[in-house]
Amino acid sequence: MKRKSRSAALLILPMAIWAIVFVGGALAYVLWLSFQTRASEGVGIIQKWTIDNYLKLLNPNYLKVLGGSLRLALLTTGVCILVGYPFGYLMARARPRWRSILLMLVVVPFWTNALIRVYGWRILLMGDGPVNSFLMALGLISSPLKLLNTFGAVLLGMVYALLPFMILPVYASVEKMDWSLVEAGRDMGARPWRVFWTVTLPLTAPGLLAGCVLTFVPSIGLFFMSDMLGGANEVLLGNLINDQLLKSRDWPFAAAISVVMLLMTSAILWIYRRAGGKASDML
Amino acid sequence: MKKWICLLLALLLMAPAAFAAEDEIILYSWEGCFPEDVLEEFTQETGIEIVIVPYSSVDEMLVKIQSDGQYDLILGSDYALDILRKGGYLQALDKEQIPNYVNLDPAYLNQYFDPDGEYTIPYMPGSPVIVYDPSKVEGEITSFSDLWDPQFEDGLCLLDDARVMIGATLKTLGYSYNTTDEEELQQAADKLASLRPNVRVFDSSAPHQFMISGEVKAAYLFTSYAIACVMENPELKCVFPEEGVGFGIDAFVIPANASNPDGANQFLNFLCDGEIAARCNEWTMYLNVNLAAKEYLPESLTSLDALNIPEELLATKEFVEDVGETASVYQEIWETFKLS
Amino acid sequence: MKRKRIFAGIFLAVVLALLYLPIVVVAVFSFNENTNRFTYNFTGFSLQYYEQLFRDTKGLLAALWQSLKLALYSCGISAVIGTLGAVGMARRKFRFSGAIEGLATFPAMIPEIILAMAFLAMFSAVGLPFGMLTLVLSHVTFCIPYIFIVVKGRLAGMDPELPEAARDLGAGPVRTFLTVTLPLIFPGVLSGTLLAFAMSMDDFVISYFVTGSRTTTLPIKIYASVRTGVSLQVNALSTLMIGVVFLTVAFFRLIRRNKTIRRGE
Repeated sequence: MKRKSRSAALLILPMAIWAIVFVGGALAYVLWLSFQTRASEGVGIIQKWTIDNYLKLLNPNYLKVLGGSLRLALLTTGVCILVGYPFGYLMARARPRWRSILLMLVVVPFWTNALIRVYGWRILLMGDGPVNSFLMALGLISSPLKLLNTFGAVLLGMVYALLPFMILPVYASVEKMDWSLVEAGRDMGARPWRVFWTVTLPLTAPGLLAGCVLTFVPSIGLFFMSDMLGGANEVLLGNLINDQLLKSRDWPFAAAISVVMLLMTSAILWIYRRAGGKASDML
Repeated sequence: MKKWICLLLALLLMAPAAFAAEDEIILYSWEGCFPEDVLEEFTQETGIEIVIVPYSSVDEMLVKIQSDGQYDLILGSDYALDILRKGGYLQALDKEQIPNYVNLDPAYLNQYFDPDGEYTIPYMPGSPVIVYDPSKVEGEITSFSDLWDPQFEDGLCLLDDARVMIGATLKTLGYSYNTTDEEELQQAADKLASLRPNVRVFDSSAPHQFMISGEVKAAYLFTSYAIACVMENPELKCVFPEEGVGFGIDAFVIPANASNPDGANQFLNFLCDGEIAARCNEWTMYLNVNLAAKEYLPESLTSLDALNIPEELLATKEFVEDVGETASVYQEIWETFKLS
Repeated sequence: MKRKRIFAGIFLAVVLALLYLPIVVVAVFSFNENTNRFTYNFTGFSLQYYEQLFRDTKGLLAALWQSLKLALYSCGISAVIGTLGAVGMARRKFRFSGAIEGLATFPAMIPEIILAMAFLAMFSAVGLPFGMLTLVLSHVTFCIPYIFIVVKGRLAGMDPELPEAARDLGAGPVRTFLTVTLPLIFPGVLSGTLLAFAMSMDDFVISYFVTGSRTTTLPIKIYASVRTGVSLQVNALSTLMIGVVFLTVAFFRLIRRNKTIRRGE
């Protein structure tokens, strides 16, 4: 028994060291950095403890960024549910032959760079781009619509980039579902909607929940979306960190924003775990 | 399966040898500042390969250099070069190796960021300009203040650059681009705030696209973007704001830790050749810095409005200079503006 | 019932069409004849951007090469670390297993920008020069979770008696691992590694902050190119890449189908 536990410990060791140094260490360093003072020149810092970086976040400007980011993340998740849930559901209900083709079709775009796909949207939505030209050729509109550089365009980009992360877990959970329960409900004469609410939805909740976490969390951090589709009109938390790191070069403040973001994410993950979610549902 | 893995590993080990050139220069630059054929010609002549490493903002470049990035040559903006020079990150040019230095127009040499002309070779000078579409705009636009007109609602494209935009606003109030006076900056911030409803896009990387595609009615752009606009659509008009113009020069420097400074100097000499400089200038579409290039440049380019700053305005030109700690005040004003 | 099926089909088709619309646009424009640097107007068919792509080996192709190298290194290292970790965890629960598992899988759960900030700050504080090393270190960190989670899932479905039996029959621990455990979990290791590979190839945010002068990866190069305007070589490369992926997937599907058909007969 002892021999077995020693060899198990040895197997875990590399991962444990890696996690402690590169995850624990890095995050601890960010935490430490967030309580330091920035040097007046360059990217340096002065080792003087302060909570100013956090107080600075209470500035109405930054609260606005926080609120805006949360709003966008919630909207993104909401739209992903509305589109991704039925998609994942229907995909799992399709005939096996179609099912694998659909699965492939959803996964393949993953293999092109996300930036490229966003860039494709940028071409599409331009004032004189294909969408406007098409609508004008049909005579539906007389002058080009404002599509690019709007809040809607940023939302579209976010949903587009994150939709597969909703579809796949929902698909997995619907596929695993025990259909005899649904049939039992139907046999007892319950209406389809009622069966859905009382049987199907609770049974597929793990997938839905995992999908929500997988779309909500990254959407707080995708800083290039606003630059590429929103005309940089939306300043999101990710943009703020990027600007603080590169433009203002206030690293302690960037660290403080990261810590706040980390707390928000951890809270979401904690709720997820409490709701019975498992890490394995996410992949 | 195993065979494939072996093959991949073998490729991995061999490839660097196949890819790495004997002699190369790592050039840290904006994307797309050099015509491909000029680079090829240099490689053919000297055997030195040019590897361009692109950055997407000056700030990114500064952070990378200040955290010990390894490059042989940098193309960057004036105030950033000033910071690098003061920080001791640069090495002097070897003018022995750059006989073509004499071709350079003295008007662009020995500027504030390199008072003794030891470190820099100017490459892309210009002055931001207002471009507008007369078919969509009522009346004539002559000044930066005109952009506050309600007819531009949700129809402007501005550079996403705190210093340039606040500088232009300061000019409309009669102040300097580089003021450190809090009162003056506050006034500029207040004035800017009322411009927000007119702004549709902030972009410094490819703003001309929005003007050409008709996304916006007017834009405040750097020289080459303005020229791209009028080349695509000759109906568009370029005007220098009558309140006074800003000015900037993107120039080459050799970092102190360059591993191939000789190659960098040779390349600079090559770029300062009249005929080569003309080809580069036609590509970059900024003001011409090379006296020997003049005879090669087509009239169609040199006669464009955006390249001919009226004499009386040129006298008012001001560089964006390093303002030390006040830089963060500018940045904060800009952030507030974007968020409002 | 039939009408329902039709509605479902239409819904799936519309969403898929939207999913592919930008990719199709990118692909169509890669064949543009227009050499204009400023506009997208499609003027006619040409392969010039493909030709340019292959001539300019220092540009996008070099960046693709860097990305492949980075992804191979990081996946190789993280596959070993993650698989061993998962196997170890399945053997015995330690007091800190939960904490270690939480910490090791954390990078997959948080926004990338946080890790990017953390690595940038930490590496520059330690004075590590930015380059392939910093890239590999950070990519391994976010690749481990994918491999670990997938392999762990695979192990959960495995009969724990099997390795025990091998040990009882006198096989050494290494031999047991190589001949019994590894073949059983191999599909898990493979799919986890493939996932990690895709993540590594696609990563922009973290690489952007920790890259060095000689390690411009494909996403970084693409970002710089598309931000500064029209660059149809990028379109050409992306079209080729997605074409290769499609062909590979289709190829494997075909093989599998042939196999099942043969087996069926």
